[in-house]
Amino acid sequence: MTVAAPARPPPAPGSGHPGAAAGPSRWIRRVRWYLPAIMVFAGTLAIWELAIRNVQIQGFPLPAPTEIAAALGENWAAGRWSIGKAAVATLFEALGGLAIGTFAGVVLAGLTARFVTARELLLPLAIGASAVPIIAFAPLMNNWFGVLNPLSKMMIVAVLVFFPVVVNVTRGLTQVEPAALELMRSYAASEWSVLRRVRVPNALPYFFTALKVGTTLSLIGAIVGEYFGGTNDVLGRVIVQSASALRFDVTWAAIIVGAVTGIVFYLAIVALERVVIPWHASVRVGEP
Amino acid sequence: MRRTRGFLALAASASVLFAACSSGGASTAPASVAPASVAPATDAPASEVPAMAAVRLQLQWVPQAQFAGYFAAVEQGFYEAAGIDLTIVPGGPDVIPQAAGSAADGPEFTISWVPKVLEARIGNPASDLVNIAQIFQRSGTLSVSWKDTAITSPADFAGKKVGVWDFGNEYEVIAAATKAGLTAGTDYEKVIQPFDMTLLLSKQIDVAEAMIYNEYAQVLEATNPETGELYQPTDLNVINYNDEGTAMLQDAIFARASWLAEAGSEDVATAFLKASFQGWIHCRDNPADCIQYTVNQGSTLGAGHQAWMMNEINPLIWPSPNGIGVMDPALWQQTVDVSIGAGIIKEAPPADAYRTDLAEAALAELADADSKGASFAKGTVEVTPGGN
Repeated sequence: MTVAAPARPPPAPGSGHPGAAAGPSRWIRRVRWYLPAIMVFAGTLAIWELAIRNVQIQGFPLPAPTEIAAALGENWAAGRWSIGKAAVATLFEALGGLAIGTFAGVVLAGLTARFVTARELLLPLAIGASAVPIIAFAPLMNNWFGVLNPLSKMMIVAVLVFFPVVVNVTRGLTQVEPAALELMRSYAASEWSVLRRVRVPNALPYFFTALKVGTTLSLIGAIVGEYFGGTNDVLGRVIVQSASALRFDVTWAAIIVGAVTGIVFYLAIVALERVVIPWHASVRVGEP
Repeated sequence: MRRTRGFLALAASASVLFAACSSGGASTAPASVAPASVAPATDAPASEVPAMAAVRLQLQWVPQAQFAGYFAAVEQGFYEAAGIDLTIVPGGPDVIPQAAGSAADGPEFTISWVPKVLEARIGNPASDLVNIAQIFQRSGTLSVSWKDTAITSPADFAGKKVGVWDFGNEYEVIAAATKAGLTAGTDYEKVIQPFDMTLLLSKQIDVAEAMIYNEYAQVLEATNPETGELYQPTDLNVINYNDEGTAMLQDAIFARASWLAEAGSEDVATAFLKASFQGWIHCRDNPADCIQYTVNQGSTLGAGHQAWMMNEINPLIWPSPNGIGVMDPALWQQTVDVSIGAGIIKEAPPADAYRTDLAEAALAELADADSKGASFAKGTVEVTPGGN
């Protein structure tokens, strides 16, 4: 390992590819980009595992990563708690709620951006909705929509997602470059084509930002809703039941599945964003 | 290679650090020396007056007449007389008593249900809670449904929406359904209830789990919108799990085996049990006192509801054929069998999962008192609207 680096200017280790004349290949750049993060992640897991195995930490219910992985395997499809089935049910609630909240948020944002009256009447309502602690909403929604109806959980999610969508999309629709508006006016463009050609494209990056916030919020909302009763096979119940059985390995497995579901959900929105607004700077920033 | 070694060294030093911390925690001084957080009641030097033992009791749920015996022992000074300085730690929906009581620095005594602790004993990490006194001799769990749904036995759950609480409160119901050949998810829908009776009252579920001393009364304290009067017992079908053969032992006092192994702990435990038994005997003979003590503890539901509860709790305890707190091995075996049958545990727990010596030692000091209640007869209580 002490071999000196080659003296050539682009010192790409292992770049045996002659085709990489313009610098290291795209693949290697990607590895370099992600490697530190992967190493920190793996190192944390290793220290965690070693600490749990070698030290008996009394009164500290944290199972080792391998135990959590084993619990996940044991309870994924079968076992006392079917985490896989529960994750699908919870994701369904989260997705439905995200759709409802986003739709309502976009409609309200459109109205408030267009009509001053709507802004004065409806925006306080949206702010009020976001100010209510979500945990207070949960039993109400269960009562209104039926505790067994997934809609009761979706509405909790929708309330959570609604506000960031309203705020972001309203800003996207209204904070348009004045020069662009003047240009459109000079073309005698109709209000509709101003909306279509200027306002909506301007709002899309804001919309996706709200959606990305919404993905993680939606899983939080769904799991909070599940804490107040209803169907048995959902992540929130797996967490409650395994914790009361002191099976913290299963609890952690369910929490990790919830987190990974949220991350996958987030990445799906990022992928969608790249397809829909490839021209926007926010998509290009940080790309390896 | 050098990097690996460096990493190992780091991990090793971290291990040493952790070990130092955990051994410090494990070698907590004997119970007669109060933990720093709970100050002893008297500051007198140990040579003059024996120091009060400061201990904590984790309740299974919020303060209510279910725990009246402990409240009575506080108010009647039984704990003080036994040299116990007791701090009562309330439970609630966000507290898992068997988890709190299993923590190395957790409360010395925990009220929980037997099957929950049996399960916790094989948890990860496993609990070392030991049953030192079986207070309730009978189960208080019911499944309640409206008359018109005609659910009179667990076999009738087929095709129905069956409400249960989780947190380990559902095992008797699930075990009875299993015994009737029904599987959750395929033969009936298992619905998780919030900790009240709204789902049954709004008819979102067909049958609801209810404790005879609490939620059952909450139904009877509610007004029937059709008649404008309170719901009557005749409006309801009730399945009592004591009759179904899947009843499991409920409120018992648990302590950690690791704590009991410390010098002096067993004496403290015996003194604690003695005073607690005195409290329960007081509540059997003076229920009105104990309703007041419960309200003094800040019970959320009112005196009317606590009166109902006290009246239903006493028959779960009395008569205690072996003396209050002493385990009936047949009931223990039934609890174990039902737990295995319902898949809560896979095999019978070791014999040291419960012990009767401490309760028996406490009873020996109470030889003058009626600790069996053989002649106990349940009283009657008027239901009050809203439990007020």
